[in-house]
Parts: sequence; structure tokens; C-alpha cells
Amino acid sequence: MQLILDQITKSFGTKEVLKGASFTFKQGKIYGLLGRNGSGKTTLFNCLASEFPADSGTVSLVDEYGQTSTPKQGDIGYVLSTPVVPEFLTGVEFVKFFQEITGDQSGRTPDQWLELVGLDPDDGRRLMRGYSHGMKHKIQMLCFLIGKPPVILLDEPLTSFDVVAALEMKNLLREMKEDHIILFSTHILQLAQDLCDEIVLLHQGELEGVDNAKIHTPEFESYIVDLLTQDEGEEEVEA
Amino acid sequence: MKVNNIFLLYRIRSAMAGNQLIYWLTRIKLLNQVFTDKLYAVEDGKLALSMMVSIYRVVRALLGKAFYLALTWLVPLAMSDMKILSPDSFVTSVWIFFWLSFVAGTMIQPVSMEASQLKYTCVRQMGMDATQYQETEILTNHLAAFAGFTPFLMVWGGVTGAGVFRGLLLSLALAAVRVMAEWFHLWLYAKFHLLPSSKAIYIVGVVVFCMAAAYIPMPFGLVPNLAQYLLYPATVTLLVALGCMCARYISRYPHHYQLVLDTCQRDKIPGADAKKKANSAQFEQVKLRDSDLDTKADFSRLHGWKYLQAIFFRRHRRMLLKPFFVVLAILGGVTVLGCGGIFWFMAQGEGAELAEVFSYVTKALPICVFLLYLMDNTVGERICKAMFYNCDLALLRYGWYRERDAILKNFFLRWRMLCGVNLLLSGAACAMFILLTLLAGGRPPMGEFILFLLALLSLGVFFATHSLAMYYIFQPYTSDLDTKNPMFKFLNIAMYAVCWAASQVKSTPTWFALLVFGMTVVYSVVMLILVLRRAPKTFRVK
Repeated sequence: MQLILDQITKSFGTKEVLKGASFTFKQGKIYGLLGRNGSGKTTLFNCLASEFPADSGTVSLVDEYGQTSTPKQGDIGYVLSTPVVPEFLTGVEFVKFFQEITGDQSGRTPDQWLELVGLDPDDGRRLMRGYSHGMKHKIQMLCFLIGKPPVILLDEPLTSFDVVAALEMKNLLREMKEDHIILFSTHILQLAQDLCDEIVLLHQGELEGVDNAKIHTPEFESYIVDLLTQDEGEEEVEA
Repeated sequence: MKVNNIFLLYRIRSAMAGNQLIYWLTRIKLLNQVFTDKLYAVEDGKLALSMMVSIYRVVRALLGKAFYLALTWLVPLAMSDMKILSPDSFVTSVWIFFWLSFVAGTMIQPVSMEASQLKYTCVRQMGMDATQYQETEILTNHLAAFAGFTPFLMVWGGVTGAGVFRGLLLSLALAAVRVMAEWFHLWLYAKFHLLPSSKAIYIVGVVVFCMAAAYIPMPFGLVPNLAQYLLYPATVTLLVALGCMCARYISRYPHHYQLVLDTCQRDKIPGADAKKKANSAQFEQVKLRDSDLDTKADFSRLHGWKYLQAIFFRRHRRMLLKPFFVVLAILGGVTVLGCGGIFWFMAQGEGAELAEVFSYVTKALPICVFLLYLMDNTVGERICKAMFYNCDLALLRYGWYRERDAILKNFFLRWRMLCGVNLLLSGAACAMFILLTLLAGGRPPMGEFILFLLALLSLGVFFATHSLAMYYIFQPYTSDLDTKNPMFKFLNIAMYAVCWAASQVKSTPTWFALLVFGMTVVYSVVMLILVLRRAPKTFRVK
């Protein structure tokens, strides 16, 4: 399965954020979307998740038989940097409800699902209104484990976790990746190096793959910084 | 105090005001074609805007002073039998001015204690010296007030025959007293750590006392001639000298920074996040409380969307039931009063007239349309806000919740629930009419009376459909809790206008009841079709 982005553009007023972003993402890999602050990572995710429409360009899914289709609502799961859950429900109630509307065939009970992401049964019986940031993130991740959307978008997913929870989530993502296309945005290079199979830069409104052979080398950081700043250097010279 | 500080604060204030103006201009449709966010970077343009803002501030300050004096002097003088342009009226105006400006104005609004965006930015964010900021602001504020009042007070002195010079003395005395009041507040803070101007009870107390002192003597002709003592040149000289001493104390005051930390906090700045606060306030009534969130009720027999909505309504029953019981209590009260009235009229031997009146009870249908609108709309609007704030705002972030099937299933579950609530209210109104009509011995035509009752019931469905369909078709609320859809606002106003107009209709009861039926069916069908077609696209968080 592949997710193909072709010439996505998006502007806000006079500011052109995405200027023809194109890339092909493949199943079984975790992609790190790297970019500077304000480079448009969240905008790209919002366009992909139909939070708002792109100005132009196409997004398509190609299945294992080569059939191309436009992603439906449930095909793309999106975890916001600030997790949102319906706070009037308990964790168990939410998971039970979600299992029922997605027709979950796993045979797991809500408690077993919660346990899978490290939430204990007592927490599951508390209202989510009292959940921490990390616990709400885990509930959102659980939706992907149960619903299995082909594409998962994670916007700055691990920045709010403590070290233990971050490790749990990273392991969870690694376990999930075989069945999904996982894109996560971050501006923390070490996190991208640690977790990602491929890194894609969002720079000047366009997507650009980087040389994967360099991801785990010591000079990767300076390589990325050079890529992200080379145009600024040119602009200064022109000025 | 450095002159540089005055210009520095002027520049920062102007830049902030200019940026704010650009921000609002870029948000106005059509104007935003000309005023784009690039304007922020255009230095010349911003300078011109800053100058415009400065001119506006001067004009506003002058007009404000003129309005204040006209309101506090001319209106009461015009209402009294006193000749407005006379030395007597000058004496009265000085008395009023003394209590309102010398006492109330200075004691409730000291510049040194106020929390402002400029103070927050300069002292707390930019690290400007607090003493320099405070003395500059106190001086420039009071000088500006002096400059604003002086021309009006001099003219007033001139036209009332008291003399232009006495007007000038009045303005000078006020400026001196203002500085003395600043000193007094600073001294209170240094000595007792007191900030009276931050207490609402103190402000209300001072305002009420000063208003009473200013105006109560007027109608009794007991206004003391304060002007002859206050505006004596020696008195004003003494006040100015004391004002100068206080200014010296203020410039050497050692606690300015601590005072700014105590008084100028983000949440106390008027206007800061005002929009956010106002937006949040409109959802205040629908915020869940811990007591709403019982986890003991058993929902295990329910599944899927029914399960979700059952839990939602269970945990929002306070919001649903409170207005419901208020309306029921009102209907109950009206019923009890009505019964009492009926028995009283019967005891007076006017039972026949009463029965005659109640034989025409069906003529109340037009006014019932408006009253039911008010009742049902209160419940409908509140529950739609609760749906958005406590449920949809979070769940609409999930793709599966925005799917057509999910939206429509939820809509119809909620519609049934809201129809049920409204039908109970309409049913209570029907019960009231039946009881009162039977008690009074009214004999309306049976067919017409049944139609009347059915029309009341159908209105419950009509308004439930209206509230919920409007929410689903327009989903007007944003993630910042703002209400953004002008069409939503317009159609709600239009519905109010139509219901009010309906209450004025003079028609035969049968025809009106049939009209209500017809409208309910047509409107409900149209709205439900619109929900089916539009809601899957429009039911989003903006």
C-alpha cells in the first residue's frame, strides 16, 4: 500500500505554506516529517486528514493490487499534538464504544486493550476528564490499534511523554508499522533518527526525501541543518 | 524622569495600537483585500497608522471629557429648575465635580495601580525600569487629563459667569489632587500592603457614596458653595504644592516593581484575551461538574451510538433538566394561579362569564407559538452547546466521527431525545389548558380544541428540529469557542421574528392550528432533508 501526495498547495491569506508538496509513502515504514517551526507540517497533516481542504493537488491510496482510490474519512487516523478525547466518558466506556462502532473482531475486552497501551483497569474506570496528556495520547493510539486505519498521522506525538511512556509509545509504533503507513512530524532530530525508517523534509513548502544512508551517521545533524538553511544563505547573498 | 521614556512609551503604545488596528482591518471582508498582513512590515504605513491612532486617541479623550461633563452636569442641571448658565449652576457643577472627579475618580482609578497591556509589555516582558515607567505614566496620564479638562472647564467658567480663571483653577486643583491620590494609594500599599482599588466592594461603595453626596443635596437646594473655598488661589496653590511633593515621593518610591508584579497580572488586564474570555463564558453554563459525572449508571445493555448518546444525556441531565424544571415550575405556577382565579371568579358568581371566556381558549394558540419558542429554544440552544463543548469538539477530530453514517445516526438519536424533552414541555402546557378549561367549565368546540392541543405538541417537534438541524447544518462554533456563522445568527433572529409575528396573527383558531401543523411538517421535512444533504459536509470544527 502507498500514499501518494501530488502537488499539494495551501495558502493562508498571502502566505503560501505548501507550494506543491509531492511524495510517495509506503506501508511498513515509519516516516519522520522534519521541518523548521512554521514550515507547514501541521498544515500538511490537516490537509491529509481533511481538517481543511488543500487549495490544489491530489492525495491517493494505492492498495496491494495497484488499485488507486481517494482516501475516505476512516482511512487516515490523525493524532493531534494536543490530544482530544470526549471527557464525559471513562476510558473503558470509550474503548467499548469504539470497538462496537468499528466492529472490532479481536476478541479483546476494553480492559485488555487498555492494558496493551499501559493503562491499568482503575484508570480505565475514571473519567477521561482527569487523564494526563500522555494518557489521552495513549487512548488516541488505541483507536488506531482497534480501528486499523491504513494511514496514521502523528503531529509531534512524543514531546509530551515522560521517558518511560515515550519508550512504550515508540515500541508500540514499531509494532504497528507493518500494517500501516505511519508519518510523524517532529522538529526533534534525535527522535526522528531513533524511530524512523525514512526522513522527509518539509522545507520551503515542498517535500524532499533525504539520503537514508546518513540517518544513523554522526554528521546527519549538520547534513539536515545544511539542507534546511541552504536557501537562507542564498537569499542573504542575493539580498 | 527622562523625556526619552515619554517618547519610548508613546512609540510602544502607538505600535501596539497600530498593530491592533491592522489586525481588525485585515479581518473585515472587502477591506482585507487592501489591508493585508503585509502591512505589519511596512514601517511608513505603520507610522501613518500610528499617527492616525494618536489623533483618534486625542479626539476620543476630548470627546470623552465633554461627554462626561455633559452627562454629569448638564443633564442634572437641565432636569432641575435652575438656570443652566448662571453662577449658581457653576457652584452646583463644582460640587458634583468634586465628588465624582476629585473623590470617586481619584480613589477608584489610580494609574499606579491599574493593570494595562502597555504596563505588562513594558515592565514585565521588556524589562523596563518599573519606577521610570510608573512615574512617566502617572505624569503623562494626569497631564493629558489636565489638558483635556482645562478648555471645557474654562469655557464653563466663562459662560456661567464664574470666570475663565476659576475654570482653570478647578482644573489645576483636580490635577494636583489626582497626584496626591496616587501618593495615597502608593503609601497604603507600602505601609499596609493594601490595594483597595482592586476590590469590587470598595469601588461600588465609593461610587455609591460619591453619587449620593454629589446629587442628593441638589433637589433640596442644599448644595454647599464649595467653589468659594476650593477655587481660592491660595487653596489651589497649596494643593499644587502638595501635588508636587507627592510627585517627588512617587519618583523616589522604592516599591514600584513589586507593585507592578502584584497588580499587573495577565488575567487582570482588561481586554487581554477578552474574546477568548467572552467565548468561554458563553459555554460556562454547559461545563460539566464533578457531580454530573457519576459512573455508576449501567449502560451495558446499550451498544454503539445509542450507548454514546445515552451516556451523554445521562451526564448532561442537569443542563437538560434545569431549564426543563424551570419551565415546568412556571407552567405549574400559572396553573395554580389560574385555578385560584377560577375559584375566586366562581365564588363571585361570575362562573358563566368565565366559562364563556374559556370557550375561546383556542384563540391563545398564536401567543403560545411565541411562548413555546422561548421555552423550547432555551432548552435546545443549551443542549446543542453542551453537545459541541463536551462531545463534538473532541470527537469531530476523529475521521470516523465525521463519516456520513456516524453524523446522521447521531443526529437522529439526538433529535429523538430533544423531541421527547420538547414534547414533555408541550404536554405540560396541554395539561394546563385542559385542566383550566375543565375547571372553568369552558366548552370550546371539541374538534377545534383537539387541533389546538395537537398544534401545541407539534410545536415541540418543530422547535426541536429547528435547534438541532441549525446546529448540524451550520455548526457555528469554532475550536476557540467563537460563534462564527453569520447565517446561523441571522436565521435564529429570523425565527424569533417569525414567532413574534405569529403571536400577533388574528385568525380563526382552526385555520391557525392547521397552519401550525402544515408549517411543522413542511419545515421539519425540509430541515431533515437539508441535514441529510448538508450535515456530512458542514458538521465540522472550524
